[in-house]
Amino acid sequence: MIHTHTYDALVVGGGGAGLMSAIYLSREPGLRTAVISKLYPTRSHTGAAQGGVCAALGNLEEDHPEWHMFDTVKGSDYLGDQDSIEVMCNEAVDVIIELEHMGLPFSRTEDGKIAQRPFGGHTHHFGQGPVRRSCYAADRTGHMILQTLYQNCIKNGVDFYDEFQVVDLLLSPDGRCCGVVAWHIDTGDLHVFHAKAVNFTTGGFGRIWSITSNAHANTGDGVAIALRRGIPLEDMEFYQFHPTGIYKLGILITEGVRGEGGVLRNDHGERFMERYAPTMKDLASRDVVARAISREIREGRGINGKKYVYLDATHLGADVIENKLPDIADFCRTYLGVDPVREPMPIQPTAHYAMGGIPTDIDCRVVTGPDNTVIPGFYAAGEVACVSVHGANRLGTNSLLDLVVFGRRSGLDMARFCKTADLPPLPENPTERIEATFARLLATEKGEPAAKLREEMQDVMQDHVGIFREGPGMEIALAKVRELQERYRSVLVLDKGKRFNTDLLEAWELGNLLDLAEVTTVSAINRTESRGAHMREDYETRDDVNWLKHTLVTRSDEGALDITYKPVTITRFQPKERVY
Amino acid sequence: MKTVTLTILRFNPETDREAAYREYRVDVEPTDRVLDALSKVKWYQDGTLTFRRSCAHGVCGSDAMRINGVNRLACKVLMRDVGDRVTIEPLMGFRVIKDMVVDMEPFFAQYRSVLPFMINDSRPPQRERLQSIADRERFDDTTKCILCAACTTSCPSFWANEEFVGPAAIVNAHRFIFDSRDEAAGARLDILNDREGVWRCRTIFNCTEACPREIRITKAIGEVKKAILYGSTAP
Amino acid sequence: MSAPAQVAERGTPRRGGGYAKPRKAGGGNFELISWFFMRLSGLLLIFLALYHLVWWNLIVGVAHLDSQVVIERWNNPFWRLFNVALVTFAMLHGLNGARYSIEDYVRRPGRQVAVKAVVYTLVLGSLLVAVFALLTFDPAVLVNR
Repeated sequence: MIHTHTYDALVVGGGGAGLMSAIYLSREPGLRTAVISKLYPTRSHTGAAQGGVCAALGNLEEDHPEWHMFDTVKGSDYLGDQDSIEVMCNEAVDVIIELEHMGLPFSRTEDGKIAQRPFGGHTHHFGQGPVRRSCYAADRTGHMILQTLYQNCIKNGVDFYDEFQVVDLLLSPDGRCCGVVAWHIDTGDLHVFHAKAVNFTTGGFGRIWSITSNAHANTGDGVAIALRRGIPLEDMEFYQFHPTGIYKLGILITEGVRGEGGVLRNDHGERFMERYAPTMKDLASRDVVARAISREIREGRGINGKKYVYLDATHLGADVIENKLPDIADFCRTYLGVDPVREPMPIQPTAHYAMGGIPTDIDCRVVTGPDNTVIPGFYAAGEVACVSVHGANRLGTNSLLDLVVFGRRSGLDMARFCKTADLPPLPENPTERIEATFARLLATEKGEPAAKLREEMQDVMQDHVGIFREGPGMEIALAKVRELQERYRSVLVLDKGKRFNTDLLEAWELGNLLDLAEVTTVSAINRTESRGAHMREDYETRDDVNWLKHTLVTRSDEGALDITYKPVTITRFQPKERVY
Repeated sequence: MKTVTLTILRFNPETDREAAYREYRVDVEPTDRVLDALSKVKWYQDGTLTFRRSCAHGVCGSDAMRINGVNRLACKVLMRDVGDRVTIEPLMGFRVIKDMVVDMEPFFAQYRSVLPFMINDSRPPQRERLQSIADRERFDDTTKCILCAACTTSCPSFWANEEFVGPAAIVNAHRFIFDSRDEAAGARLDILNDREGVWRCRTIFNCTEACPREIRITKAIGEVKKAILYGSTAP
Repeated sequence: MSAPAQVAERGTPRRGGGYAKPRKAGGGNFELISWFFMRLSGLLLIFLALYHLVWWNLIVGVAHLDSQVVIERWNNPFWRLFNVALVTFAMLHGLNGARYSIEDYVRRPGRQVAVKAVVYTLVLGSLLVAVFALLTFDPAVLVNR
């Protein structure tokens, strides 16, 4: 059964960016807004962010948005667009104050202001040393942001469609965005949402790797849907591996541990970051630290020769750990039986964050092509988008900042847009495509389970398109992913029912993951340099002459992936060698 | 790696008239989570097994269920702690949609009923509202709630009467009642000063025992009761 | 089972920002008072019962409890009032506890009223008889028999 709903604005995804966008839309009287989310919004992965959100409030020491901007540009390895970065760092202060006014329970300084602590890559005086810039609420800042935003959505009476999986984007015949098709997981019914504007805030796709900090739900649905609808994906080769994930599980251990003074040690007990980053040491940017850890492990200095090193916080004392890092202490005790007050934590890098995604301008309008042609009514914000504030490597805390700043900007611009725009016509048979997909997935009687294909994909991506990359290895990965895409045609869905069919959902999600693994690998093979998180052992240096540009990958009608480029916006900071 | 038996209470609304137990044997590591064991069953034995999950490390609140008779998050219990025979059932007190999936709407309706958001209609300052470390500490415990419903569905008062607002909603009211920046404690206390509000709590402590975030829920409810009695939230 | 409507609508949100202040919950402060009464009476009962137990059974001693002692203490107004307090607090404390259980587990409105009527009548009736007896019984009857 197909249901139809009409709204002015739709927000797809109930994480930080989506809820922030919805709050701004809900402040516009008369505007009909709905949030459509595959999970109850409070289950979104924003809630797993721990360490903080940066803004140059200067509550504890001198700080300026332009220092923050410089750090972000440098962190991005000069691939970030400096106009977007400037907007983000300047608006950071206002947005954080606004979140506080919305009720966010930040930790406090002695004089009652928002507490701040150092974080990787954030410096004073353009790289002179660490600065206390990360505003935090213990080690559950993301949880507090998510809860506060959800609370304010309830306060403002936002309409929610919870556990509705958006499965397709609708474009009207004249090329405007006109809605989405969503699948009500509970009933199995399809719903057509007809609207003037749609905002994709669907998050990332860490599940294409085997060791990841990402939730099971982070399957890149929005990115994959956009790709299928002919929208290019930008900078997909840049994927961040967080230096400190719990060994084997990948669960995030916040950079805040190092912000509070924790250090990394190898099998010899050596504080090895002193060798890799003499100034910032353990607080160098994430790509640098993750590579250092991987190098130590590869050169046999992992603990007992295994694939992990220690994150040592034992010298911080029980007080700091229990009060400022209570959740990570709980994770270590629950999953490792390790008490971080007394023992070091075994960690390894974990797939964490997509710098790339759906290209947008600074108002979060989705743009295509090298000349940034706007698709009217289609927006994206947060991890799903590539506005590009993170360039080739994101600094810690800038993800939460990205969510709230660009969530807000998208809401404001959509509200402006909806005031004047009319409702574009729906295409004929809007559900045709997804009905065909589901019918095919359900018709298979003999085949392999989605989980098997997924595991093979995750393993090959982990081995060859991880922290260290080289051409031949990535070719192996690409061949494997394409083989898996072939085998995926006969993936077996055992559950043939309509109600809460998560078997079908997982199979559909796997299709997204495979597409994104393919695009990531193609982009990574294509970029023959090393920059930020994209580290090629066969091209070890950054090549600004040939590669100071964004990659755009588009799926052609025939199914091939076409690569084009667009220039990087450079305003204030010219590319320099990057040393921490 | 060893083989364990999972006894799972299954219900498929499209084929079953009532729920029934089914056994699955699955190989697990002692350090695997119960969620990992369930996933192995779903992925490689029976794709129709249905449960919610997302973050898999106890922060999203999706996978609360009854494990060996007590409410737990499946991702926060390790196999070595539950023995070789594990019974898994859905949360009690909500309508079962399918297997472990229960209807959460009544739960969120109760949550929404206690004004779970900051209310301060005075003009905000240019910068942040100031709050002392001590004032921030007063409601710290209840900010940890992830709305997993483990507490509410472990409460005998709630089992007996689903109109009871439930411990989770009270926890989320507490989070604002004791926030020095909020101005609507009185309105929330009025809401909770009701037969189906805090007074339905019989101080049984099941909620505190069930909370995966270790929130001292019964204590928080006690603080709300006292605030109603004294007509004040002063410490 | 669906959301209880009156609960869902208490803090009704409005479109276009803002929210409606909730209406005052009905029912006054009866539940608050009964909760506080349970606390208070529970505490008092501990001391009353303890005093009763220690004084008559340990200090005076069971062996010495004969009709003479009973007559003497019945003639003491303090003892009478003490026992009025003991029986009143005990019965009301128990009655309120029974009310909690009835309201938790007897869900059909009509049946709940009926069960409450029976329990209230029995308990309050016994309480009335007890207080009446304590205050009006003349121990001289025992002597003159």
